[in-house]
Formats: sequence, structure tokens, C-alpha cells
Amino acid sequence: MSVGNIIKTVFFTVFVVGFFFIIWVKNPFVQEQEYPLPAKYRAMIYSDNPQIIAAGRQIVTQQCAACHSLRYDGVYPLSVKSDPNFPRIIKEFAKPIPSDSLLAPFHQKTKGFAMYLPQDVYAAAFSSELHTLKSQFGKVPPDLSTMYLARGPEYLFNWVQEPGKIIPGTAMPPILQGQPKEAAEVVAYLRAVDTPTPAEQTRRFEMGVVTIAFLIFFGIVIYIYRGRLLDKMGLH
Amino acid sequence: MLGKLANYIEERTHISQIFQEQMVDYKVPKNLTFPYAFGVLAIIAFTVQIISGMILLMYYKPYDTLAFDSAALFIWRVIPYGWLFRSIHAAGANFFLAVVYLHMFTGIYYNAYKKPRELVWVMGFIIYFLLLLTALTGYVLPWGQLSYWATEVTVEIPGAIPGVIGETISLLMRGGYTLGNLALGRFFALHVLILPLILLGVVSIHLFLVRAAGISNPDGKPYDKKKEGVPFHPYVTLKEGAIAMFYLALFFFFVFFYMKEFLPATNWEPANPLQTPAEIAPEWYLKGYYAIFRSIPNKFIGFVTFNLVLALILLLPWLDFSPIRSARRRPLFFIMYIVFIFAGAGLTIIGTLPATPQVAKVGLFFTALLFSFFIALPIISFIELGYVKAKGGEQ
Amino acid sequence: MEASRRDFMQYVVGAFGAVAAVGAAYPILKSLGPSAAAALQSKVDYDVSQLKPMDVRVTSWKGFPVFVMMLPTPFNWNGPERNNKYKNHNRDILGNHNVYAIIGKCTHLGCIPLWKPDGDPGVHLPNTPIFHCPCHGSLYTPWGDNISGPAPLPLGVPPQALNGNTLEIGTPGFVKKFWNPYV
Repeated sequence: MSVGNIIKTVFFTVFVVGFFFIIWVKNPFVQEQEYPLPAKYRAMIYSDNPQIIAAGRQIVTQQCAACHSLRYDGVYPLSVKSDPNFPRIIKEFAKPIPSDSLLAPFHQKTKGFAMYLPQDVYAAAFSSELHTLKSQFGKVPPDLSTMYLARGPEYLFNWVQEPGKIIPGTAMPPILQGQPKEAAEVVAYLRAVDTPTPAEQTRRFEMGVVTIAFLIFFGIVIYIYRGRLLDKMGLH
Repeated sequence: MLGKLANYIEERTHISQIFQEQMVDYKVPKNLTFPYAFGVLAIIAFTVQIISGMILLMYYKPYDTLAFDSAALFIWRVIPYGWLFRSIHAAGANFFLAVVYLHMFTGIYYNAYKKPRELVWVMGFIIYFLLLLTALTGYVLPWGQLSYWATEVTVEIPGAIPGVIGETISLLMRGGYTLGNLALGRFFALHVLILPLILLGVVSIHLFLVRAAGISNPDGKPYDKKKEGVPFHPYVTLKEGAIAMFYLALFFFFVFFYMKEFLPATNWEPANPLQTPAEIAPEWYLKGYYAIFRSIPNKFIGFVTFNLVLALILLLPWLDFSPIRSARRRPLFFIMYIVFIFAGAGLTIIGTLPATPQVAKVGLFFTALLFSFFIALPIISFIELGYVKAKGGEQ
Repeated sequence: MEASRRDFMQYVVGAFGAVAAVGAAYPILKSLGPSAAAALQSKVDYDVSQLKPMDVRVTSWKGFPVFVMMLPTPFNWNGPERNNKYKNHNRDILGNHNVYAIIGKCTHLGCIPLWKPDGDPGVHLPNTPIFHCPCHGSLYTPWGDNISGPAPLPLGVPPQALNGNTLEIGTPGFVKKFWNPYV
């Protein structure tokens, strides 16, 4: 291989890898909005501690659920819950979700399964309650089920404390203003709704490592086999 | 027992004879470089998409109130290993397009589009275009905010054509004035059946044409197949098999450990037709065209310009009529090729930036660079034609 | 020596390929199996407070249609019996309970039998409460014992417990084991 060829090969490799690194992994040209999240509260959010999650769930069911639903954990707005038809509709239409073990204790009655209402049933059965919420806030307050995945812990931690700072003029009231501990508990609970259990995460991690290692070994084995075959055929 | 079965099949199909003829007696140049493997990797990526797609298809519901839950709840959590198949399908789409882009740029570098391989290039371009459509129609299916609004913006783009034509195209794509159930159903049908079926057919024609015209040579010189050729199997098959395994290892690294980019955060919010998310841009494989469209102040001219780029890529075999093949032996072409890939990559990265007047200016500069490649091709060809003639027709 | 080595490498490649095929098939087959949530269907609570004697209500348990029955007390069965190994099989399982659940799926070809509390003159059993399968005419006693027709076995009996006014189908109680003639 000549020097020119080596330079060309290195150039194209660096170019391709660099390009995909920028668009897939880290784009240095785009400034992402950063929200402060002190290390202490970050540790709380990522702790997988059942007590913190239980406290967060209590705040959500008592305060956030005044307006918001969280269907994937069977949490519905208070007005919906007080609808006389609510128990019957849940009984007839709700479907089970296998809860993470961290959330299972909240669903003793249904053997650890959260019961969720399909969106069409929910919107139709409680349209009057949802309409009241809509006329109150201008839109139906969004469902919180996937908010952790959509917004991330840093954003949510600041949002629940001072929403007006992030989106001025928002209809969301500053429920947990000046209560960072409670805010962290809420985010920890939202995280628990959207993240597999620690055991499941470990299982997936191991699965990934085994798959990748297997494929690399397979590639090496094929290459060795090829070398021996070509030696025999005199093609090297 | 197995031997008997093999004999039974062999007697009736002569499969080993076909294998000998098509794989072993088929001779290819010995000096094929690493980038020649991208074609095989594209076939592998296509297979991965088909298998993972079939599993997702069993559980996905193309209905506006059910689509989000079926993807984000049912497939992602309730179905055993549903998360794995959704990750494979989402990352696989990006890897497929990445491999196809690399395959195309390899073809441009080695001038693999020249006679007698023009039809290979045309068929490859059709595959590329159908693939973009498949990716676009599949992107709407999870029915998240990003799905919804990226598609809304895309179907608005033909509206840049003045008069009723643009509006009519937009209306036909959407099936009405809002993006709703009709559009979802039609995009679903296109994504899971119509486009993949056409793709399978076009890919087979592409492969047939590659065999018919023979594979190109990195040196761009004609070679003696009997003396310099090596048997396709096992020389190339096993090498590319090993490369494919390393490719899959990289792919599964992303599937298991880095899905942030392929399942974007904004798409975890259900689609809301009354609220646009803060940042909205197409996927990376369209960002180059998007940056051209955005940089040009006039909407219609922008629309024409990025379609012109697509048309020029299709017309490469006729823009570049020089008798010399392969960038290895064409220094002028090599320089312009570097300009071309810098412009393409630059435009893609510009597509990720927020739209400001400064960014638009840089975008215009890179658009000019991109076009300089297409303009330079016929000029370089003339110079090289003269050079070859002066040397008495020798290449 | 060289040849045997090559053969060995060939086997290694083949073995790796087989492992890859199994590894790819495993999650695919797993995804087709029942999800964890399916376990919730294995227990069904039925409120029997509204039931009147000779009533049959239909519910579903593990995908089977289930008849929840209430017989009057006392109840005298005066229909015919079939003398075979399974004579009075279900009656013995269910004991003297007058509220119970049996699986409403004919053991012949899987149709759902009809409840005829006043008997059926067409099959010469007037005034005798029976289950009559409309497909091929099998007859069952109110406990699900087959007495006539092509049905080879008595109807299934799910595990069940009576807790106040709630019949808990799927919970081991007065019937502990699932009598399953459908396998």
C-alpha cells in the first residue's frame, strides 16, 4: 500500500465516522438548552428507591392528578375519578399493563397490573370532564405517561417547580415552587413509569454484550476460515 | 437421510451446478476494496427491516387514537421483546439509509455508473428514491409529535409549486385538509406492503443488472477475467460475510445502548394537531435537501433546486462522459469529488441548525459548492476526452 | 493434518451459524407467546347475588366460555345416565354445591351447548333440565356429565371457590384442580 493510498483511506474513514458521529451522537454545532439539576436530586431521581417513588406517586395522584392523567399507571384526573360511571368503565374496558416491580405495590387489587383505558374509550367516556378541563386551561392537560422519555429529568425537575420560567404564560401552575425534594420525587416516579426495572435493565445490558461479542467472534471465525480456504486454493 | 434429501433436490434442481456457475465460476477483480461491501450490507439491512417489520406489523394499529398506544405501550412494554424489535426497526432504517448513501458515494468514486452500467445506476437511484419514500411513510406511523409534524411539513413542501398543482399534490398526499386517519391508513399501506413489494422487485433487477454488466474495477482498467479474476465464492462471499458480522455488531451496539437518536425524545409525546413542538426538522437522510430548500429565500426556486439535485444524481452517467474511469486515475475528478462530499455532509449538518439568516447564507454557499461538482463534470470530461485523444485513444 | 484442520474450521463456522439462527429465533418466538399481562385473565370473579335458581350466566375464563349456574335446593335430577367410566364425574367433583361454574364447550368438537331448563321434547327428554349441544346433539346433565350423543367426556370444570356472593373462578376452593377434557 502506497503512502497516498494510506492517506486516502484514513481521510475517508475519518470523514465518514466523523460525519455519523456528528449527526448521530454529538453535534457540536447545536447548542442544547440546559436545565440545572443538582447532583443530590439527580441521585434521588436515579435511585430506584421504592420510598421515593411512593412519595412521588402520592404527590402526582394528589396534586398533578387534579388535571393530568397518567394512563400507563392507571392514574386519572380527580374529576374523571369521581364520575359515577368510572368504576364500571374501568372494569369493562381497562386492559392490564405489566407494571415494573417498583410500581406493582400500587396495584395490589389487580395483582400488580396497572389498568389503562384505551385512548378512544377514555376520550369518549369522560368527554364532559375532559371538556371542562379544556375550557379551564385552553387545552386538555397532557397525559404524563411518557413525559419522562419526552422531556428528560432536567427539564421536568425545573418544570414542576417553575413552569413559567421555561414557557412564559403557560397554563400550568407552579405547584411545587421552592420544593426541590418533592419535585425530585415526582420525577423519580415518572422515571419509574417509563423505565424497565433494574433487573430488566441488567438483563438487556447482558443481552446486548453477549450479542455483540458473539457477532464479533463469528466475524473473526469466518475470516480465519476464509484464510485457510484461500491458502488451500492458492489464491492469496 | 439428509444426504438422500440433498440428492433428491439436486436431481430435480441442479442447484449445485447453478451455484458453481453463478458463485464459483463467476470471477471478480482481486483488488475489490472495502467499500464494495456496502452493497451486501444494504441487502442485509433490508432483510433486518423486513423481519423486524413483520413482527411490528402484528401489533401496530393504524388508527389515530390507537396508533400511539400500540407503539409506545403495547409494542414497547406489553409484548415480550417488543422493545427489541421496535429498536431494531428504528435503528435499522437509519443504518439502511446510511449504508445506501455510502454505497452510492462508492459508486460515484469508482465511476461505477459508466457504460455499460448506466442502467445499474438508474435502478439504484430508483431504489434510493423508493427507500426515502418508505422511510418517510414509516416515520409517521408511531404517531408522536415529531412523526406528525415532520410529515405535515413534508406534505406541505409540494405546495411550493405555484397554482393549483402544488395544493392538489398536498391534498392527495394528505387525503384532506388535515393529516388524520386517512393519511395514516394510506401511509401505513404504502410503508408495509406497496413500497416494500416494489423495492423487492427493483432490488432484484438491480442485482441482475450488476451480474449482466459485470462488477466495476477500482482501477478503472479493463482486466482479464481468466487471469486476474478470483472466484466470487469463497474469495468475496466469506470476506463480506465477515464484514457483515462486524457491521451487525456495530448495529446492535446502537440497538442496545444508544437509541436516543433513533427514537427521538419529542416522538414520545402523542401527536397533537393543535400544537407544534419547538424544533421540527426532517430525519438526517433528508436534511441535505431540507437545507437547500430552506436556504433559498424563494420557496418555489428552493423546491426546484433540491429536485434538480436529485435529477442530476440520476443523470450522472450522462454528465460524466469521460472515457477514463475511477477517481484513482482522475485527479481533477478526485478534487471535485472531495468538494462534493464536503458539500453534501456540510448541507446535512446545516440542516440540523436552527434556521437563521446567517445559517441560510452558509447553506447557499454549500449549495453552490454542490452544484459546482455537477457543473465541473462535463468540463472535466471534455478535458480528459482531449487528453485521451492526444495520447492516441489509449486510456 | 491440513485437511482435518480446515474441516474443523468449517464445523466452527457452521456451529456459529446455528447459534445465530437460534439466537434470532428465540426473541421472535418469545414475542409471539403470551405476555405477562395474560396471567391476569387466569382469575375471574363473578358476582352471584343476582342469580335465581335454574339461571345460567356466561362469562369467560382463560378464553373458555364458562357457565355460572345456580340450581334450586333441593334439586332432583331424574334424567338418564350413561354407564361408563365417567358416570357422575362432574357431579362428584362439584359435590352438593348449588352455585358453581362449568366450562361451556362441548367435548366433541367445541360448540357451546344450549341450556334447556325445561328439557327438550325433540330429544325425548321433556321436563328434564339439560345442556343440549346444537352441533351434533350431545346431551349433558346440569353438572356437565355427558349422557347422550357423540361427546366423549364430561364438560370441563375450572378450579373455583365460593366467597360470600362471589364465585372466584380460577382460585382453588371447593374445586381444587382444573378438570380439563380439552387437551
